[in-house]
Amino acid sequence: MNLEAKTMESKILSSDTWKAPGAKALIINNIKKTWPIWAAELFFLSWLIPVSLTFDIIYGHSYLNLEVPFDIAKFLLVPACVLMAMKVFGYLMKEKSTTFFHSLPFTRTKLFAVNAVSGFLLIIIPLLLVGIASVIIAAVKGHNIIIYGIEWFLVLCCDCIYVYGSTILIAIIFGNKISGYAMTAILFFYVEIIVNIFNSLFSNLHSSVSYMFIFPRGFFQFLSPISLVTNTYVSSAYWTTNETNYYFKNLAFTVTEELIVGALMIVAAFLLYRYRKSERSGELIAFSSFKLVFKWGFALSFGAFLTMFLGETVIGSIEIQSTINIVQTILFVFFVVLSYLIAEMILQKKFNVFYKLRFEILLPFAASIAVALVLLFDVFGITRYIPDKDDIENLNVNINLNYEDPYTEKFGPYYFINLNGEKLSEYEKIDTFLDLHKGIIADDPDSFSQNRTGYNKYVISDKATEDYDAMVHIWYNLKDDTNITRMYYVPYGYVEKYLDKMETYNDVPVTTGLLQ
Amino acid sequence: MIRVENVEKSFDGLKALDGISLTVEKGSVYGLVGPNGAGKSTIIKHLTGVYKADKGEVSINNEPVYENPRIKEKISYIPDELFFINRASVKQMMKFYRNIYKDFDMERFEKLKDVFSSININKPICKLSKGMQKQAAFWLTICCNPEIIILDEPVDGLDPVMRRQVWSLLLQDVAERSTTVLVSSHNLRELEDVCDTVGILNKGKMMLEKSLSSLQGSVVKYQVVYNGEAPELKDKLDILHVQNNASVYTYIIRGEAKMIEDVLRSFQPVILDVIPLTLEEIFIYELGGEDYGIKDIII
Repeated sequence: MNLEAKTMESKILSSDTWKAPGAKALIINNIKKTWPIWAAELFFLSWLIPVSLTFDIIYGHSYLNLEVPFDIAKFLLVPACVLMAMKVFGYLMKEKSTTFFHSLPFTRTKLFAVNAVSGFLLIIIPLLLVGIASVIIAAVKGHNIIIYGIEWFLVLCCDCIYVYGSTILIAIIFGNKISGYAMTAILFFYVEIIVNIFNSLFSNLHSSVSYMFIFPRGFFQFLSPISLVTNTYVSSAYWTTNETNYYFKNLAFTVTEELIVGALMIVAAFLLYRYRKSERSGELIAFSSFKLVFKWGFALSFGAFLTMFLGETVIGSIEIQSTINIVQTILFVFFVVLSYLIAEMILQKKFNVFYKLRFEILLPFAASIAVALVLLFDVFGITRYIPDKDDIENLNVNINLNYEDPYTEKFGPYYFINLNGEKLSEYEKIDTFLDLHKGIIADDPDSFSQNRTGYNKYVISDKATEDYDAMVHIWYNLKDDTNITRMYYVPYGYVEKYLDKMETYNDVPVTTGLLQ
Repeated sequence: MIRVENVEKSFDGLKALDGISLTVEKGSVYGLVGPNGAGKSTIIKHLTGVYKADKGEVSINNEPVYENPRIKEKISYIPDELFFINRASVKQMMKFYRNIYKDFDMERFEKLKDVFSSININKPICKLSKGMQKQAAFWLTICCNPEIIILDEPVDGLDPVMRRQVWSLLLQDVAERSTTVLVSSHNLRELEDVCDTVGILNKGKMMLEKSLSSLQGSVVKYQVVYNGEAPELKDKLDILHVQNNASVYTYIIRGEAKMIEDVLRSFQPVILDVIPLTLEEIFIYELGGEDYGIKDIII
């Protein structure tokens, strides 16, 4: 396009974007096509709050808890926002409808803006009506809940912006309804899914470390929609006959965080929409570059999932023991390559993709080997990491012991030592357990045992003689509000020297029954 | 005036349009023909602002079409696959268009109720037959009073009476309002009656673009009976096709009619007849040279 044409395009975008003609038609169209969504939202929200409030007044209830309806309202709004966004931008999912809307005399900017804003208003207006009705009904009962109503509305609006914006982004990126809804569902849980899959895989490769806590959500929680919507604030609201009591904790943080992320999602969706090619409608993914992200994301996540699943079910029960790491590493490489092929099959909608990908397949092969080696050799030192003493707010410790009954050759009765229950915040006590942790790390916890199926009798490596198993669970709460949890299976003899020290913090007789 | 200059468009590496150019004068009817997959619908989607060209320019009245509502407002488009918003009736679609196209003519809409009398305007269009849906599309399109009407396979599904009716309405607009019509169709017989200019597309390229009269004048069909053996003509004439049935030879030859007739007469044929050439024959034999001819296949 020459300079003149470009100038013309920018002129059009700046002058006509927000002018009214045509917008009315699109808004009316959106109201009509989404009526089941906003009508259902209005009905359920009304039933949940103003109608139930009215009954409370009629029956003269002296106590009312508003937290529960508030939380239910939030979870009603999440599907409402998802459905609304998918419906309003649903025309992008079929070539016929995309052709229709893109041939109308609108710029892409105007189409996006009118659809996005009208869809959002259709979610918010029922919420506003319900809020106003609730405030009025409460006033009849003599409670002034205007401020609470405003805060409530504000928080839910921000939840909606976030969920609605995220779904619009998905609708723009993915080219058909099936992939759109599937990816929306995955989007809300992707952090949890990915973190758990890789934690499981990692723990399978490092048999002495519990899988749940290796990759904490930490930073990723900020990117996790479901965490963002559910975990960021604390609210309480109840009324008695004489008292109106309510508060929001972390309100400002919640509102700011959701607004920023939601706005970023919408801006990203808008930018992508302007460059979305009409001819891509109906395809699984509407942007070629995202196909690569999809293939790699699918290959690594699904490959890791299959390896973890097989590791937990088949490999774990046949007890390959010392070869388990190598077997799982090979499986991981195999499943990543297989998943890469599956991703390509999904994209191409055909099975015969191997020949075309025979050279390309070398990349996921190499990448999966690299990832497997990084996990296997713990390149980033996750298993060896011990927080600095100055960063620790407090810590909890558990040590569990079990042994095999020498007469019955059955496990148990389990003699149990539990040295926890208090958060240790005195530095000299923390030092004791830092020493314990450092000792375990120094002797390489992976060499202690390959058997993770329980506190079973086992033959330990060259670090110790035949002994009983002990589980050491250390939980650090750090000053920056994050936590680190590690769980190791170590020989009993290994922890024995610490038991005396531990006894200091627990009245349970350490050796009772254990060494009888 | 519609102008397309050196437009290129690829889909996943496949070149759908390969440097295509065309010009449609204001107030004319332009027929776009070509085999399946030639790129007709693709170029039409560029003209309606749906697709953005990889290269080249698509302009109307010297303004780019893509992202230009001022120009798109002057265009009405009937695609090969019709789309109407969620279960809308003709009445609802009329209201939708009325809110979008400021030149929408309500008076005309009312008048045309007689023409499209078989359509129940309150019934969802998706419940109407395919032919009636097409009629509804024409009805709404004509009422938008566009400067340019773009039609992709427009009369498929219409009965012969309604076809004539629709074309008569369109041509009335062309005559009275200088509306420009660009139509893509495989029904060459129909295009022959209405088009001023024809463009033949093949493999994303414009093979031929001429006024219908000059196109028909540039290719001629002769039936010849010689007194004895047929002469060798390949060196003398640009023969697109020759068919021999006993002593009768039928030639389709590209070139000026007078010159061709002089050459043929020089062999003193017993019979020499000029036969009218249809657009369909021109299409078939022009494309024959591009490996798209009808092949004599015996199964």
